[in-house]
Amino acid sequence: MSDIVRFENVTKIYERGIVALRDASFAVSKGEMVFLTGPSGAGKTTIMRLIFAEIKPDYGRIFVAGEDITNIKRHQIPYLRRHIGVVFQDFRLLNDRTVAENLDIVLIILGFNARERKKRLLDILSRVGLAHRTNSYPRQLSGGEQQRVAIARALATDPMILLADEPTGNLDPDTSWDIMQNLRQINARGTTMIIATHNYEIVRKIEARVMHIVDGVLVGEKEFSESLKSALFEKR
Amino acid sequence: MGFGASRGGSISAVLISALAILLMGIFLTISFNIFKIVEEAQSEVQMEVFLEDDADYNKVEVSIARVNGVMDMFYVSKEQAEEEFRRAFKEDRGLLDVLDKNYFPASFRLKIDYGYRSSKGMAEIAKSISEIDGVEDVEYAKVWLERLERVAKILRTTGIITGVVFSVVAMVIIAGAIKLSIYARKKKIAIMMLVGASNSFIRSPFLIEGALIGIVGGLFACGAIYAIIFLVNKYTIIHPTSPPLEYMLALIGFSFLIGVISAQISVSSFLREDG
Repeated sequence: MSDIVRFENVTKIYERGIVALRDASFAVSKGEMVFLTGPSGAGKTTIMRLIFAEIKPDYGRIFVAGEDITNIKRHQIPYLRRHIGVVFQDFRLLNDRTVAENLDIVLIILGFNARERKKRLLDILSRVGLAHRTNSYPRQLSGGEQQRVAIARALATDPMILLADEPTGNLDPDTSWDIMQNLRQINARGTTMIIATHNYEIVRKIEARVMHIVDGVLVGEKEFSESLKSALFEKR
Repeated sequence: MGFGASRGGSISAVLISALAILLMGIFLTISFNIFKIVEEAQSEVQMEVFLEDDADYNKVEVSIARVNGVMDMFYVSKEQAEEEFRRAFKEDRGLLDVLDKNYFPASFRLKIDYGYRSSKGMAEIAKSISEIDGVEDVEYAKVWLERLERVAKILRTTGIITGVVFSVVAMVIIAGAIKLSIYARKKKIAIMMLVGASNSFIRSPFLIEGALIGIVGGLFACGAIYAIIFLVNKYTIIHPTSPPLEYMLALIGFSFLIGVISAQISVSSFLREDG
């Protein structure tokens, strides 16, 4: 089975009965790059949070790398998360730590010794093109650079899956494009990638599967993708 | 991973828990001193067995020796008893001169085993001995012993209550400080959890912080206790002895435990509501 993420009829209901996700079924194959699109509040973030077990589904089953994580035990969650990198719109870096220290925390958690950490650190930072900024603080960096640090941190665990929730939401178009190129390179090296975005410009330009979600319901993937692309082309 | 963020909270926790431990320690010192008095008094607990004038004291001696709890005894003859009385009441020597004969009974003075030096143990021994042929009367400081025991009991109960109350106070304070410390690092913890840090990895620095607060608080308290004992000895008429070092180490150990347990409570509640 090459599905790395599989949702089977998943429903998630938040407090006060708000249905964030309704009967969603989909699968993402190993090495695939998938865009999760839809208006804000449609349920994109809910799908992400379900995958890294921050929340549990109310109905249905979720599999990650073949493991059923629907009712994952609390103490198993850390091990699941070491296989999943997560990147957010607001970067979530520790502003009182340097770039190197932000990444080092992850490597310490993974139990690497000092020498391995140093080696890995440079390797990861060069993958996102930031090897020259190891000793800068996040506030000294541009938004794009900060997001690269966040991506580097997500890559530090050498994850099978990278989840990016609106990774370009706070960035200007050029920077957004750079970040997307970066993510594409990482995907090309074999990391499965699920990117939630409502930046249709990017979705249009990058060849990848699109899953569209509206009001918690996944609408036909292919149909949407084609109609969206044609719509955008017509606009030009 | 650094304890800088909420140093104020930790310092006040150290001071307040030190105060709680100090109060416990002061109580411990007072109890220790009173217990020492009680113990000394108990070590002098004696029993006197008065004999009938025609009793065969050899036979009585053998019978007494068979009673459980009797450690040692020595015989006081009628003559010795009179002599003792004369020595004790020198001024009233005339008193005895009016008597036509020696009315003082011979007796055995008993030393009692440590385990029987309670009012219950003593009563048991007294009962067994009074049933022996030739024994006229058994006397010991019954009322005094009971009073001593009552004091010791009150002391013990108060000690336990004080200990529990101040432990709880210290725990609440330390738990609060750790909570502050956790909230100051909320973002960092969230990130660590996101990248797969185990709960124990997140927990350990806070447990260390709790342990440090406990140990430092305990050390402060012990230092203060020694200082107080020194000052009391120097400037007042009472002369307490400081509890032995083991007591103080136990107090610090206890304080350390309180620190760790409080931190554990704080972190667990945080991880539960946030996990």
